Amino acid sequence: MGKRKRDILEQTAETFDLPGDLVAGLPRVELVGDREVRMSHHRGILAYGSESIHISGGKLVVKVRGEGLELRSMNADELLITGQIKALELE
Amino acid sequence: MRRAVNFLRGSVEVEASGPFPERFLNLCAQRGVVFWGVTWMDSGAVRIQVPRSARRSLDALAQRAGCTLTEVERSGIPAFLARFRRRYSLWVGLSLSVLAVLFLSHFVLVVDVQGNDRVPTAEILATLRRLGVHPGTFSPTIDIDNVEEEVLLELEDLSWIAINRSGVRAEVLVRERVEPPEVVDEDELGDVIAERDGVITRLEVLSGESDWKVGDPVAKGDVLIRGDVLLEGPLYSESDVGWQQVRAQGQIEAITRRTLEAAIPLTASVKQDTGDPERHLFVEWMGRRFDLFSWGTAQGSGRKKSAQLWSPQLPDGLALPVVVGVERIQGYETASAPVDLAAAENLLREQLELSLREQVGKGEITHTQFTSVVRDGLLTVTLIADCVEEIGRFVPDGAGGA
Repeated sequence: MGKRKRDILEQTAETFDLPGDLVAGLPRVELVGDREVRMSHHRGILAYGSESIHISGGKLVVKVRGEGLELRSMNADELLITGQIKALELE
Repeated sequence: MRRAVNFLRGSVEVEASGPFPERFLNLCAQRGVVFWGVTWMDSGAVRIQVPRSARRSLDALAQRAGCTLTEVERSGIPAFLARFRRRYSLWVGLSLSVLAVLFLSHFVLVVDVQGNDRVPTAEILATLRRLGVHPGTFSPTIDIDNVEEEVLLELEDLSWIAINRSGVRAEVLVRERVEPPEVVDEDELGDVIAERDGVITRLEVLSGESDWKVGDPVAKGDVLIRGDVLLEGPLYSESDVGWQQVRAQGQIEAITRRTLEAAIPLTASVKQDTGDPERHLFVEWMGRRFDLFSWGTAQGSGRKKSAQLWSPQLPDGLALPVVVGVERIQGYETASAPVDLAAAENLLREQLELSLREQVGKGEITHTQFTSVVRDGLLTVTLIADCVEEIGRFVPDGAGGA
């Protein structure tokens, strides 16, 4: 999917108040308490460590910071990170 | 649950090292390779666990990600079994065991007879063997209905038989025929006579008439209770009504004296072993004997055989149909040897006492006296016994008394 097409889809979703993750395939991050992070529509792991995991979300990078982080499961669309989560940053 | 599944299907832990090991993870996720247990190593490498079936596809992915892939450990049941891959003797033994179970379970290995009391087990087993049911018989070929019928025809003392096949065991359940009770013909008339000489100690007449009383001596053959009963006439009548014939019944106990005698020669023929015995080592499998080898030769005019057997047993006592044995054949010559008088006398006394008890039956032995005499090359022991016993015996009319 081209960058221009993605931008159009994003704007369309915003205009018509539609869910962006479904219409434009935007990354969706779900935090369950401070022990679990689920992310769908990711583009892959950029960096991995027990204190920091960087995940590509396309236009942005999601940085999960914490202690004892572990990539519990991962497939082409979703991933699950567990551990003591202290921060989620977007870049 | 997931752990159990992974254990059953097996898993492999691999380590990917290179400039960007996370790319390897991303490729795995994109290609649908399931992985778990991601561990980042201090060296910058990453370790993951994948199913055993996905192991082969990892090499190409690692190469694409510019990583070097190293296999760290294999775990689960497939890895456990793979350890025994080169243990050929184990596989041969296992295969033979499975074959033995599959093959031998179709054969009768044990014939177990239950429920018999009077009919010897050996007789039942011999009959079954003649009809084709014995250790080593191929179970499906046994015509159970036919064998049951044949056994009942051959062994008249059996009233019922059931043969149940339970694995390698043939259970033979039998019921013995019940002897019909002795029927006393109450219509048969007759007297009770004395079976032996004696002095009456107890006299009970149930029917008939007796001229004897307690303390009277009687001789063998005397009529103790008559079956003729005199029917007396009414009071002041000068003639009786007549005689009535009945079946004489009663119990007459008397003191009797019994004399029993037994003799034994003073010399006996004994077997004297000559030379070394002849031995045969053999194996018996399912009732068939296979001689392995033998050594030695028996010498002498006679032969006596004995065998020592070893048979393995299962923990529940079930004897396996394998017997290893050594048959010993000893040659001997017969020679005359004197008999130990004391031992012979004791033997005769025991036999006489046993015989006396059988003869007296329910009676009582009050006194015994033994005398021993050596005469004409024989040791003769005489037993004189005083007994209190039943001496009455019913004799039907016309049987001729004693």
